[in-house]
Amino acid sequence: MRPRRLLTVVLTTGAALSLAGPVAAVQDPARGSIELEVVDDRTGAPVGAVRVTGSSAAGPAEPRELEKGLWLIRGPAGARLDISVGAFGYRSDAFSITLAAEGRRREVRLAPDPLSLPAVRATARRSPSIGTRLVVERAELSLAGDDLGDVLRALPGVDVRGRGPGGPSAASIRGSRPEAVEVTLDGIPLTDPLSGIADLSMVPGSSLERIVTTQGPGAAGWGGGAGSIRLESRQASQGVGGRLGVGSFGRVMAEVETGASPGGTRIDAFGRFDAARNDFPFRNRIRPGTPDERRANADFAGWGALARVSTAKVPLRFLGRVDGIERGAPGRMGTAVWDLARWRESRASLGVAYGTDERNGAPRLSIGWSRNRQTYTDERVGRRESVAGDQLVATGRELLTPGVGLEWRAGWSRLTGDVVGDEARRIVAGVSLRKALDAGDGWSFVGGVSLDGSDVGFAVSPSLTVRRQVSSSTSMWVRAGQGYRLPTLGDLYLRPGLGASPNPDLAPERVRLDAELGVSMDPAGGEWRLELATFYRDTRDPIIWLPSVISVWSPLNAGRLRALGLQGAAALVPAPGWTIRMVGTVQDSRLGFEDYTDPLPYQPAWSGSASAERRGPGPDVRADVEIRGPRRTSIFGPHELPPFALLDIRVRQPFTAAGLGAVLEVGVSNVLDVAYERVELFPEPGRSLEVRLELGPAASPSLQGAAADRSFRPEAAAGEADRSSATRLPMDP
Amino acid sequence: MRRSRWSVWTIAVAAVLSSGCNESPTDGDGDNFVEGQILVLNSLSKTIHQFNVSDNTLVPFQASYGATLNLPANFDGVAMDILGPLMVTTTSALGGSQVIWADLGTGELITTGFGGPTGSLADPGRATLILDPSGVVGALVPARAENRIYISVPGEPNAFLVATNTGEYVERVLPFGVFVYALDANLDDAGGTYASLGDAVMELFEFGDGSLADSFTLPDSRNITDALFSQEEIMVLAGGTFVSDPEFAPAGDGNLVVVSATARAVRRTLALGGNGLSIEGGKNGLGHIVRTQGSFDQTDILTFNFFTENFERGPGNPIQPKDADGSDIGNCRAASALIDGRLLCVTFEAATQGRLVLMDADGNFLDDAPVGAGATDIYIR
Repeated sequence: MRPRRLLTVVLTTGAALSLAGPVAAVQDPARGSIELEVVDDRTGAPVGAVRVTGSSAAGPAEPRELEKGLWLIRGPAGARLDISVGAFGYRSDAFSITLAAEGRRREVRLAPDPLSLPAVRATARRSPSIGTRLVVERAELSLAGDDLGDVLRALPGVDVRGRGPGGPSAASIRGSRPEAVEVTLDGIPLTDPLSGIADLSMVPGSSLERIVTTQGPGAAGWGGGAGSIRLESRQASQGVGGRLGVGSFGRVMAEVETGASPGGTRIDAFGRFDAARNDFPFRNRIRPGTPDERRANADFAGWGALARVSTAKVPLRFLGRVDGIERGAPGRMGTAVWDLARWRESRASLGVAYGTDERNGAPRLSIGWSRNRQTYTDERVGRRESVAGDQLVATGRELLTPGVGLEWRAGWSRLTGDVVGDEARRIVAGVSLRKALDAGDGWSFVGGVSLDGSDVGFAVSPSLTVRRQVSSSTSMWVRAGQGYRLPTLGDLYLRPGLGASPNPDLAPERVRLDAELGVSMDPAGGEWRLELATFYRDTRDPIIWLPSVISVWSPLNAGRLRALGLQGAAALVPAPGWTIRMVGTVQDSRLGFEDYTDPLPYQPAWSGSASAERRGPGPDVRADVEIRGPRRTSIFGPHELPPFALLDIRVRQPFTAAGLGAVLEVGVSNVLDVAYERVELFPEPGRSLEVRLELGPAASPSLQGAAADRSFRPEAAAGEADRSSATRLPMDP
Repeated sequence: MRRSRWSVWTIAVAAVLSSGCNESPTDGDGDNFVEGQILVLNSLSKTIHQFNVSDNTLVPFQASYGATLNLPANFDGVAMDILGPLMVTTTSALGGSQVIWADLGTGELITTGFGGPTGSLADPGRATLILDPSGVVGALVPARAENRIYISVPGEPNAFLVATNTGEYVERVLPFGVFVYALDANLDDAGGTYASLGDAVMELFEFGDGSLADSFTLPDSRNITDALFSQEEIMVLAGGTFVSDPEFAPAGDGNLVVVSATARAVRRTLALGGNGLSIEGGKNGLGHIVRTQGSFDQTDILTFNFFTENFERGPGNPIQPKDADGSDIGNCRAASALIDGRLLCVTFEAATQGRLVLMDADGNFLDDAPVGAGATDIYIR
């Protein structure tokens, strides 16, 4: 007996024992009854908001809903009833029954029948933000796998590279270096203060609710000379749910989540564990002709948990999150130098935010703290080094007058450990003012200026965006701005040792001009959408690490970094439930010294992705193709990695298990078993399989047949047209 | 199996040797050179450039595979040795411990490894080409992490063992009759600090059975970087130490140690008045030492006469390379000379391409040509 039915029986029995009247009525031999259990034909879940009608020769019956999906119909015993059962979004069912005196139960399975609604068009102006903003929601992540890098690579102008599965990975935007991309998790920088690079592998996509990418220099205090990536922690569903998965090369994963709203206070929690051996076979190309080898020391085990409390009476939000990973640090193929090197990293953060919505003039304030600890060990040479970083961030946002927004941020960070000479500290503060002006006739202007200060330097960064709504479906915009990036604490304070020496005299690198010209077409009906943007960025005095004549590496402000490109994104809905997306970027990113320029390493001249996705009745299916052009591997020489194309396929099938909603998901990555490298001599796995099972509320987005969304949706389309800030407070929303 | 692949390389070497490769690089048929006679190794860009000289002008040589020979992606060496069209270099344990062979005529690359106890961790130092009486070419290679000496032969997957227990950190091996001289830089590689453990040690091993024949310490010799063989003497460049915090400034204690290979003893120790970066034998019969006194961005050139066993241009009157505008060229990394005494030096640049600079015997600028990034070695054949 299924639990829900058991519960019903127990409750009915209890009610019968305690209420003599109804018991007598049910047992009246002159009366008959029947219980209808109305369930979803695909999932077996009870269906709510059901319309039940019944009639007989004696007149209409009186259906009564006992609980969600359970209906009771009474009438004269032996009477024949014509019953109709229907629900919004389901195909109606009709049948005839004869009421029995002893009472019976009948299951009615309703087949889903999605409704076709006329297109609803909402007109909203593009967000007057500093750069192009792209939003990815969790519903869109559900069929994209857990690798945050894979999700970001599907965005125009974004590239992610890492040293193989389980290893650290970093993002670049519009031909930038990873150091120029500021990444925050719940408002607190994820960027490592030592290296200036955020390791995306620490944060799996399944732990996120939303990803917001801003292309263009960030706002006050946030750095990010080329752009920023804002990650927001996942909000758990009501109830209890979980996910289990296994895959090739020893992959196992488990997640659990729970959510509740006692007394109007929202509480939710999420936990995860993920591990893999990653001992995949690969061809060692520096020893051609030798048999395939297996990758060694590429295993990892990651874990994480988060808890969030949002109070209703006072607009306060609290968030705590911990993430950790322990992994091998394998070297390039062909050498065993790093076969015993291990890397352990953990990160804890706490934050509180106050405020509702600054659009009504109320200020929003937040404060967050994080502590990150990294330990590197290598038993082969008896090496052990660790470094710990603390960061404290406070932010505020307020609408001073209509159209004028104020935002400020203050941050303090500190590094301690073996790899920094002394305790390294930094204080940064920044404020930005923005003014939006609607000039009529489709013209709008947004001007802004950011003032940033730190112990390293001071910067004023203006920006201006002009937009023209050409027609109801077409708009064009042009934007120009400036930005800057501070030297990292590693640039300034790394402990001098064998082969490396810091440079305390470094100056911030300046984005002298970051500009774009774009056009967006989104015709009525929503069957297709197209967005094109050309971009240019000129960075002066970029901070580059270079070796001396005796191979001692040191950073210096040198040369000029220029990136020029065109990016495009298109979405097409060829049929209900189907979405096709295409994204492409063509760019030329070069690092120049004096009269000499060379392509920036690992920035492909062309790249793109395409996906076809179907959601709705039956299994959900998604196929992804990623292509990357040839990439130089060093600023020093002509070596290149060859182009590659990858195909991934994922399928989800909802079903019912023990009365619970469930989803089985199967994914095949690198279907064509392509041998490729994202970083030179660090092999990637060939074809691999993954199987996952979701139970409970976590499975609900697919069960409800969530509409296919757009993976590169501008934030204005998400209903945030009036949000002028390029940043969000910790713990938003 | 060994001969089938090996014969191609042997024949190629023999053909070039018999065609008169010792002629001056200026001896071209006009500008129609059949090969590049000045070769530059670029460690950072992992390339080899070839040049010739025609009337005080450097002429880049275009081989059938292009103007540059691309070495494998894992290459991280700093030195090469050349015999005819055959080039050998090594990549360290970080790159997988390989000996890399190149046919400079065709651009073909072959790699060989080490089958010793640590395999890819062998960490080879500088390779030295040798030719046995039957015409077979091999390379003597020190395995610094294993403290062993190997001989590598192109076409064989792994090198053959020559000697074991060769000190702490053998940087260079030189053939001497039936013996092999091993120059132990005496660095702490086992502890990972690579700090100097003391003066360098010279060891003599029998080629046949690998037995230790002799061993003696080279006084005042820290951080051996290279050595040259001439007649019966070995010129050992002890680069000297540097201040490790924070600028890695040279300490100025480099020496040139003259060793009698036959007497198995140190004959002379000559102070460089600075730190030594490289030593190359020029076609003019002199040794050319690139030296730095103040910082590694300020270098000059000393010349050493093998016959007099003394400096021609010593620490008191070094050659300062000059640029076209008369300014000092301060970043020479390696220098050599043509048969008529004209100097060549390669500049070390990481951010841009380095240069090969042609100068007169006093260092006055004649011409230059771009090379790759991180030039560390120059060879004139």
